[in-house]
Amino acid sequence: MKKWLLIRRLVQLSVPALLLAPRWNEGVYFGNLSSGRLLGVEIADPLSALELTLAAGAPYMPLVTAALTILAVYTVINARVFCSWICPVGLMAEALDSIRARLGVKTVDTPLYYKYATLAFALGASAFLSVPVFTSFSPIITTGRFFYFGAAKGAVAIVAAALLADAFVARRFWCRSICPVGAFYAIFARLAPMRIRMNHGRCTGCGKCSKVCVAPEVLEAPVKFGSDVKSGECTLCMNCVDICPEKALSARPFPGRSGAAAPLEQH
Amino acid sequence: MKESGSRRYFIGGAAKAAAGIAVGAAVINCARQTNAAAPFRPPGAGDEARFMSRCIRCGRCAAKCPYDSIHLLPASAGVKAGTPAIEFREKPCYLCADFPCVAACPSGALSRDVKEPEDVYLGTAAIVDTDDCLAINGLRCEICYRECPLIDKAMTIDVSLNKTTGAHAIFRPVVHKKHCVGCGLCEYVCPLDKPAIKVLPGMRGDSSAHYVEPGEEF
Repeated sequence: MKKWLLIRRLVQLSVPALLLAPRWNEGVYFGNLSSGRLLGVEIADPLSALELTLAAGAPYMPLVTAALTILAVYTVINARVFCSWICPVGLMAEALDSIRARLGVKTVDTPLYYKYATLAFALGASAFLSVPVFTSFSPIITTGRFFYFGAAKGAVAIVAAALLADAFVARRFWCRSICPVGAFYAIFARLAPMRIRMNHGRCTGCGKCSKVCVAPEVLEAPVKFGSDVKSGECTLCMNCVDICPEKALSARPFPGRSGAAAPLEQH
Repeated sequence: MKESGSRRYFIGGAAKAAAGIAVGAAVINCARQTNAAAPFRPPGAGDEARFMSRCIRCGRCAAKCPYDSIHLLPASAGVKAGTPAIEFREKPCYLCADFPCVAACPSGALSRDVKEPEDVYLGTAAIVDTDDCLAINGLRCEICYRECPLIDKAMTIDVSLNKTTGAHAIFRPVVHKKHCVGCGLCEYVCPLDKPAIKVLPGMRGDSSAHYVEPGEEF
């Protein structure tokens, strides 16, 4: 029973609904994915705010406050939930990946750390050029604008370019290896309490979790040694929790009674 | 998953890194054209470089514009993609009393210092075609003058004798750049197919180095 997948899809689809909301009622949501007002509270993409601070040479406090608001909420849970629960490009990438898998197109997995280079590039270029560079080319912000303003000329090209490699070259290339927003949130996700915890006593090492994981690297240590998922690369998509036939995996804010210290006698 | 030592993995990775560098170089090249052909921006944007360093492409100013004067630039605008612009001939800026675009801006790209129409500066109107301007040709047009939201300050009418007929007057519209904020209404309402009056960027100069107004001291 894929309970979590169902809940996650509902949340993911509520994002386009929220972005469309101002057409009828601006009280619910008004804005884009770089900045908006949710139920009267100003929120902003922390990476955009950081880029602006570097580009302008000084922080703009209302925007910084809005960015810290959303960052605080994300950090209390786990900042990477943006990727699998909120991001519309993530949703499209998931859809594309399931089509790719059904067609049997073979791809490779590229290293997760590439995207830190993109993040460094985006921040460096913003400071160097005095322009918040990634806001211009972000397929996420471009997709967000689509819902209010319709498809701008070339907008489809930006999103398609981001997802092109996903289909033919590397699995979830954009999300795994390129997206600076994911890299940015991954840094904060390391501080998060909410994690996938492993009850190693129940794990049979069947490997089903790794097969449904966007970043199976993060499950290597938990399956081998019974540790919890510590990496900032885990987006808490809950696919592994859904699929585990032994219920060995769960998302908890604190190490469970049967966490890393669980006995290994079943192996 | 592949072992990180595998050759195919390495070559694939190197190819993608090269592709990444190529994309990065393209982005930088694109971004460097920041100051080339700056479009007209909404009120409070100020100088193009200042505006470009603060706009985060959320589109909230455009969404709030009651006249749909503000549109967002397409992806072909490169680094300016998604930033707001005004095309006066399509829809000018009506200088709303409460400046909803400025109020909607979350990032300070549109400065909150704009409170009165006089605080706005998008450009300066100028009669660019004195040959075809109907009023200058002696017709009673003066639509630009009548529609100017800062009438008798930013625009006045200069009356003179029509030398062609010797009996009629010419009501020539004159822009005063000290007061013109460049809202573009004149350009919008000009009845000619190609407007005789247009807003030009960055015309608010300073003549004091060359000219002292009568009554002023050196």
